[in-house]
Amino acid sequence: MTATLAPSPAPAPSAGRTVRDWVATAVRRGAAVWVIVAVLIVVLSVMRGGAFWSTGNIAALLTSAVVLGLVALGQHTVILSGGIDLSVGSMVTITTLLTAVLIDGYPIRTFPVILGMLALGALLGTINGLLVTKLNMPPFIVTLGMLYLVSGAALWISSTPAGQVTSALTEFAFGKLGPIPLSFVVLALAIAIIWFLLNRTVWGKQVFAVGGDLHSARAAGISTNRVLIWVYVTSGLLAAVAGILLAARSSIGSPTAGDGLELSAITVVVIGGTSLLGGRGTLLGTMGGVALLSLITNSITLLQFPSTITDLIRGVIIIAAVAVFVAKRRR
Amino acid sequence: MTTAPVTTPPAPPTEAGPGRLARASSFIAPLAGLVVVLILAAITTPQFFSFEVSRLVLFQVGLIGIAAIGQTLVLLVGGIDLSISGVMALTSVVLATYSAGSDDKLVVGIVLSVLAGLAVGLVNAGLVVLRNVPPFVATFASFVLIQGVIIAWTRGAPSGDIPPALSWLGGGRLFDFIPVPLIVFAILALATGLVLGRTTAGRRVYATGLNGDAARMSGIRTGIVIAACYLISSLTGVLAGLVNASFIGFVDAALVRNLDLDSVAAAVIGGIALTGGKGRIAQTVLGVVLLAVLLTWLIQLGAGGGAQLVVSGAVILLAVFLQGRRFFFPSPTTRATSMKGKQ
Repeated sequence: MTATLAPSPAPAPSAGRTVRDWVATAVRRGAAVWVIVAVLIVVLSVMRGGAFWSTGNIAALLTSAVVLGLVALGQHTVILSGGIDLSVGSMVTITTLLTAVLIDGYPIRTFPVILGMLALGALLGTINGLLVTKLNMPPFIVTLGMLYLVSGAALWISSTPAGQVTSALTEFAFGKLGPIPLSFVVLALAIAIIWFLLNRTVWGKQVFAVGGDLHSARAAGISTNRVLIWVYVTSGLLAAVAGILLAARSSIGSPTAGDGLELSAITVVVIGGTSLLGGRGTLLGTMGGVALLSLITNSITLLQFPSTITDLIRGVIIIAAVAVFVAKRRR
Repeated sequence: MTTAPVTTPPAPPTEAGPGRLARASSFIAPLAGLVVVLILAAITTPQFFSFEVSRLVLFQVGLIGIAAIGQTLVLLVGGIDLSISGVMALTSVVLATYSAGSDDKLVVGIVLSVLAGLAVGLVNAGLVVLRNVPPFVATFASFVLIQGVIIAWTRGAPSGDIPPALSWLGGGRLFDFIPVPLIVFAILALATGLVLGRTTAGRRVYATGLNGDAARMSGIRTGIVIAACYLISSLTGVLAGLVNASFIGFVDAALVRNLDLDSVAAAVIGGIALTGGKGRIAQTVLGVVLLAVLLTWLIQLGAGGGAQLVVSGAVILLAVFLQGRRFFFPSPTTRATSMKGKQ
């Protein structure tokens, strides 16, 4: 966090400077995106108040944030460490597909398959981490190769939706704790855990240090390889959890379930003010990005736009976010 | 400005003596790979060397090759273009929707596709050059945008046909054996090779890719060089899209990401460095041939689209790994720069 102060902006025209600084800080701390979220909520309340605040819609909204939220948490951690994980979408795909295909409706298999999927996510993350650290390959090409490898494997397993999860899993996916869906509770737990890990443990400080400056971190005695490998394992694990929940919700596994999630995850992290260079960013902002993207998808349904426009709006937001929020490279 | 550098002896990045050895050795790894795959193919699928299958290999070489030329240029300036298959799909949708299978509207349809491709190239170039967005994020984002545009425009169900007058481009053959796409690829490769190796423009591309700051200080407008490479890459994407569309004959908006991957894989196994500034078109051509043979062999083995994706993904990882280990022996003068990884 100290890094936020170090690269203080170059001399700017003094008149609008304080305002610009203030806005820049708001963007970096992740407050700016919540302002947009608040505005959107107000607009939706005015236009479709009844439908928007109905318990059904709120539950749907919270549920739709779960998969993206989990994946974004992992992506946030990876980007903080100065890397990037393009393989998260494909990991969600393969865990969704395998959960449904392997359980195939047999209740007794539920628990072992879930454990197996978590292990698979961790394993794929470990491979990413090992390739990035031990073999010193650029993260984007490692995870890009992994993206194609894993989504190819998913297509290989089944090119059409297949499998069937048990009713226990489906009930969990649609179950509620009061007004709050159970799967959202999972996301809340994950946020709490990641927040604790990043802000209250030595490992978290090391992630920020490695992302800020890899060589300095190594010189300061941090075992950078181990920190980075755990970062990718975290991302893989969270993607696996997201995949299991997605399978539980759709009760069937699809070989295209997670397509495009990697870029949505990068987008929400970037909108939240996290620097793609690493070492700087807040969970608050990333979660604001998740809220924003979920709200926008939700509003398309509420305002009764054709559903085919969803991808277009997502694409426009991604391009805009990338163009506006990605900080100019240092040096 | 234009004459001075051209008159110097044509010896791209390396010197004559050790350079020649390094240059020869850079072909060894991909050539060895090609021989191994050919032997494996001969053992496992004897029909591989038949007339029909060879023709299929040559078509694949042409299609992957056209996209790989543009990709190579982008890689040389230190970028990567993940929007190529988006441009291909966009081309086919634009052409089919506008012309609806009518030959009269073919020319205008092609012009419109080219304009659409240029627009994508401009977005890529703008994001990368003006906003300093990492190239893989920028081009991936424009891929998603194209996808959204196509789905919203066609309401998820694209219709229309490709004019039959174009079918020679994808389906035509010279002497009933050499596919037209291969000829197109050969001409493109030759032209690009000449430009890169023999002209000022080519030197500027290498200089920009090797060390952007130094290039800028020596008076090269690197922004324009980089932007031009993204534009050319989008144009080759349009060309590949036309080839593919006319080969299939109907609109194919199933946005397979294969050609992004294949074009990167072909360039990288040929020995083009992801860090930019190193590699020649001849290496890309070799990589394209190796990849086309490999993929066709997989199809002969009965592998589906999934398995092909797996193999291409693995090939990229392996090639980048080998480059990192310097199995490709990059020329000694530029070794120091190859050490530093790239984000």
